[in-house]
Amino acid sequence: MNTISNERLAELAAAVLDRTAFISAEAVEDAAPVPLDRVARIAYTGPHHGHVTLHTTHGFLAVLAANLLGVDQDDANAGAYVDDALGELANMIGGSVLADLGGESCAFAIGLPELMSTGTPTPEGAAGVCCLDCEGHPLVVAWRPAPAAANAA
Amino acid sequence: MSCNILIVDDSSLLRKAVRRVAEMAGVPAERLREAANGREALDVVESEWIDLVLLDINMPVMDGEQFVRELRRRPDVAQTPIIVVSTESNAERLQRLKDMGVTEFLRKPFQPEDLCRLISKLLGVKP
Repeated sequence: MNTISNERLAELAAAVLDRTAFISAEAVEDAAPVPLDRVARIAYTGPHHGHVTLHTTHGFLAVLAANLLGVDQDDANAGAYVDDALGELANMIGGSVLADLGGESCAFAIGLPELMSTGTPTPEGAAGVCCLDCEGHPLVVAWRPAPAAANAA
Repeated sequence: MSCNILIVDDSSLLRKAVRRVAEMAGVPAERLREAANGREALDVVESEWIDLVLLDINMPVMDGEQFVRELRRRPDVAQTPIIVVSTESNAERLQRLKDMGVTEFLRKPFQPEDLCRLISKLLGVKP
């Protein structure tokens, strides 16, 4: 199975934020000590299956939504789109991970993003985890391929 | 410009973001239509003339591939140009879309100027 290092995962996530929303992100050792209370997951199938999970804050999603909409970060309209921003970010980072895993002959199929109930990011079961500082806002991305037995089922 | 553009994406945020890029490309706001999935998009193309479709692929209800297949079966709108704007990277699926005559592909995340350029190219206008 192809794999993605923590560093590559951080590069892919940072590239998504830069290209889409002009947000600068850099990898850090640990997420800022604030509750990462917004969580999204996107599953995939193909040569193996698994999912990519994002953990972040409402504040970061409001910034992301504002940048995507091209409005000021304190614009009230941006606050209405934080769930959409989280789902779309999961979609784009998940898509970038699959493109990287699959290459030119990519055989992975991506699912639809799911917004999850609040959960603390844990590295258990994750083949790749990265913490990003996104202009002062935290983002944790975890890649979890399913165990080989589950893939074989 | 008197061209109608249909933006199809299940994310309302992305529809707004793409709408902004289309306006940058010179398309008046009143010429932009939106749909949240392929089914809604078919309803739009059956009710008014659409010059260009900007299409996501992974959507609930009816996905982008099903939409293209249905659109190509309708003789009066079968030739409508389509730009796929999606995270889709599955090679077989992308080939099927090409075989069905999808005009251009733009991988998310995209830079606004790339989409602006494609819209201008397909509609024959300068932003």
